[in-house]
Amino acid sequence: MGVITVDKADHLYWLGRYSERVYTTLKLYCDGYDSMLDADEDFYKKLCVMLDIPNIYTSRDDFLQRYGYDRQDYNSIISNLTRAYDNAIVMRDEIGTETLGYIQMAVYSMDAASVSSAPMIQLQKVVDHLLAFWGCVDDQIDGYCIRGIMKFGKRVERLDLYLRFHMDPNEVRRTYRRMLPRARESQLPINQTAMDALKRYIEAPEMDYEGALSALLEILNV
Amino acid sequence: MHDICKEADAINEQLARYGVKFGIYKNGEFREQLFPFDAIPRIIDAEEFEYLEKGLKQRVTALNCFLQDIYTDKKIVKDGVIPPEFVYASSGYLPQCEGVRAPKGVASHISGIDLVQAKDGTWYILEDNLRVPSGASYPLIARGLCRRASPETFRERKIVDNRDYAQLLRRTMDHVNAGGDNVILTPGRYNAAFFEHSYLAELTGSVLVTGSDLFVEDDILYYNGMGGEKRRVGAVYRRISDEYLDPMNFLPESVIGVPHIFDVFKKGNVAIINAPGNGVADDKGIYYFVPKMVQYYLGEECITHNAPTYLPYYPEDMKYVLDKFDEIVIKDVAEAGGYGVVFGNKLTKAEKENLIALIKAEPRRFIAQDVIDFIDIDIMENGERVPRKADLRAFVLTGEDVTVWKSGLTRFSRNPDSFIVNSSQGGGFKDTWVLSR
Amino acid sequence: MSELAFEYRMHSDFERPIYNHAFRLMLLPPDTGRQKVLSLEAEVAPKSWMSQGRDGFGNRYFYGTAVEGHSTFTARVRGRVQTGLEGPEDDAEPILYTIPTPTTAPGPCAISLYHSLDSSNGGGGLARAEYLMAALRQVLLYMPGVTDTTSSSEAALQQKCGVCQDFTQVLLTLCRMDGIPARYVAGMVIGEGTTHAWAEIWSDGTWHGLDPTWGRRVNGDYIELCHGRDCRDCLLNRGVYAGPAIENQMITVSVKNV
Repeated sequence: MGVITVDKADHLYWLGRYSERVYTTLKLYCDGYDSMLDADEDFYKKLCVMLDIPNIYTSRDDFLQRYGYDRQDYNSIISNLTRAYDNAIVMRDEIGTETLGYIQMAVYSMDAASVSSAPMIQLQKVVDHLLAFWGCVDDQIDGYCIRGIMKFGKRVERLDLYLRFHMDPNEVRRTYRRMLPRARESQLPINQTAMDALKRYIEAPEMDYEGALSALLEILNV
Repeated sequence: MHDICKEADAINEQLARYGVKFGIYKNGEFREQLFPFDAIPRIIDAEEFEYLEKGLKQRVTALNCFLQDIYTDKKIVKDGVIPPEFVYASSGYLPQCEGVRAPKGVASHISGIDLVQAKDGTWYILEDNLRVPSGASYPLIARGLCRRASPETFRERKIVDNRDYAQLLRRTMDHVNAGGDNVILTPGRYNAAFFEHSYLAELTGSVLVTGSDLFVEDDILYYNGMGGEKRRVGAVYRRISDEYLDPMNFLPESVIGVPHIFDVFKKGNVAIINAPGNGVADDKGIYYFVPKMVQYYLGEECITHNAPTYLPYYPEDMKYVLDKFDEIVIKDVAEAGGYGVVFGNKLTKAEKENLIALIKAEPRRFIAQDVIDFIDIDIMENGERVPRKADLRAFVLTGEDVTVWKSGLTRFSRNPDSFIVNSSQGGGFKDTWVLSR
Repeated sequence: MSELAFEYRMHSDFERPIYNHAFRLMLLPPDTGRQKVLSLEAEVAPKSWMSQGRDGFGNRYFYGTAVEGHSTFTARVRGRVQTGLEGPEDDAEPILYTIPTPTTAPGPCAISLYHSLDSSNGGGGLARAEYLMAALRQVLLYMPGVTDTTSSSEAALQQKCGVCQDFTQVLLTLCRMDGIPARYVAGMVIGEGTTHAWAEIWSDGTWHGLDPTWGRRVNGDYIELCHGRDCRDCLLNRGVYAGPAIENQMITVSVKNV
């Protein structure tokens, strides 16, 4: 296994985080899209609260367009996908052209969805590419710690999102437990105090979502 | 026979999938653009390639001798073959390199030699690129995709596999490696050729780094691994130009270089690929002398042909330039703020007089060449075959021995009136097939 | 022949701590036909790894990197040098010094000044260079702070003022227009102050120093630190570092007769 530079470890971690953010928020977006068809036209307002992002949108359609595809909207899915891409493109030498190709294709499909008359069908391709990306990571990347860092990023992101969503405590705990071995595998320096605090908040009978979130924010600050 | 052109869209789609792009700045904004691929290959048969191979090996060998000589003994100058002014006036001449001998006598490890073919079939050398020639990665990745898209073509034709480029490059790096890892030094993601840097790093198993990843300590070059682990670097395939390589020895304003790296190189503790200072040998003014170098260093007749070139510096050439002004092309050797490339017959009377006065005042600054009628190559445009200008960049790798890569980058201009085949000008590229029989 | 003792001190204060501070100091006088170094010592603070090198012109320098954070950086070089010698020439590559460089290429001001001069005055070589030196001194006024190390001779002529660097580069420009090989020398001169620059002219198979700032020939009061084609080749101290900080640098030089 080769040694990677500090900057590269950072890119891998954030590649993991952003691709997971796109994956999870995309599912939410698609569910919301469905609800807003006929059930609750203003459902996007709840989504903004849930996602912990400012509601800068003027209507359902404005939300569906901008939150999905507007590169000027800092919180949009395409902005997060672009960040995943930006972290991936500088890592071709480590993750490989084949793996990188799936992030590239996710970007193309996202752009295609923005102008498609059947966006939900196109967005399914984005999800497919992201799943294939992670499959490729598992299959093709030999470097134990390279893969470990990316998957650690992915698990941290999912936990972060689930805490923001105030997801069912058992689901959060399951996500937390799946993160732990990745923290070790990544070989990144971990802030043990923050890690212990996170454990306390998550395992408390009455889950402290806010406490857990702020502890999670600190786990790489050593 | 299967027609690979039918698969052009599929191949381009695959190239897009793998992000085969180059970066450009348009209106101050960085953009990545796909490099359009035309599926009609350039085909070089075995016999023709054998000739090119022999000629290019000879040429690059002589250029390496020149680079070694010019920064040390300067025999070729002392023996009166090249006037010293041409050496010192070249913008690629770096006095910092005086006295420096490149390890194992190789200064130009990766040489990109641009050629064009005239209508009578003669190949002419347009220019030698001995600094950081780019472009090999494009035909390299395209070949694999072509084979995927049109397998029958490769079953039927005897096309030499070109996918050994990364191994050749790796061997070239290992040959001069001074002990430590191989790294590829990129200016970063926003460089036009970043795709190539990252792809070649992947294929050669080199570590892709930027200047800030590297540091020098006690005359050894290192990069910092995660957790503060120091890794020694033995060879740097640098894709940044000489001026920006080391703010302690070249441009002090450079922020993408590595302080002291040139001192480490001078002390023999790291190989820099290609060596600094090579610009003196691929200068437009020095080009004229390459056949003389072959004669001087190797005692052989030069096999490759230069385009017929005249130096107004020599009185008989000055006379030729003035007599044939309307039939020749004038090139200004001064890089910045120069005239560039001028066709004599395209000038107004006043422009012509101005230029002639300037040539007389500063004869060393200009070279003139006969205009050669080049063969156009067909490309597909909207379903039709149309002829376009194209050149060929051959890659010559010098390590233990000199190897000409059995392929090359064929670039074409999409504009029917343009002679410029540069990718940033909207051109595209083709695969270059070398036939094995 | 004289014997001079010199001391060069550089003191930099940084507004905030900086780190990974790479430096290269071209402050080691070389042995040349005109001077011989008797003793030399150099030190920097804070602690850094250090090494020595020689550039393509034969100039000597020391370099290194102070890795740890620091907000002051000092360098001190002391030595004794025999000057005013008449030894054999070390660097006999005069043609290199006839080629204009980006900071010495003649522009409109240089060309018009050149054409206003008497083309036959002084003949060739050193005498001609002295004539050119006198001519440029009619045009340029000594004024600190209007140019920096990237300034060209043309810029100095345009604003009609500059410091020793500019006087020297203008002289190089004019000499080279005449085909006289001329090179840039950075060094020190007797007294208290800072570093200095002058020109050397190739004539009769040897280099002759001319100081256009003071309008005189260089003598045993001068110590050469380095030479090159122009001021860019002769940057005495280079430094790059990580961290945003404003640098306040002070350089003092003292040269005394022993």
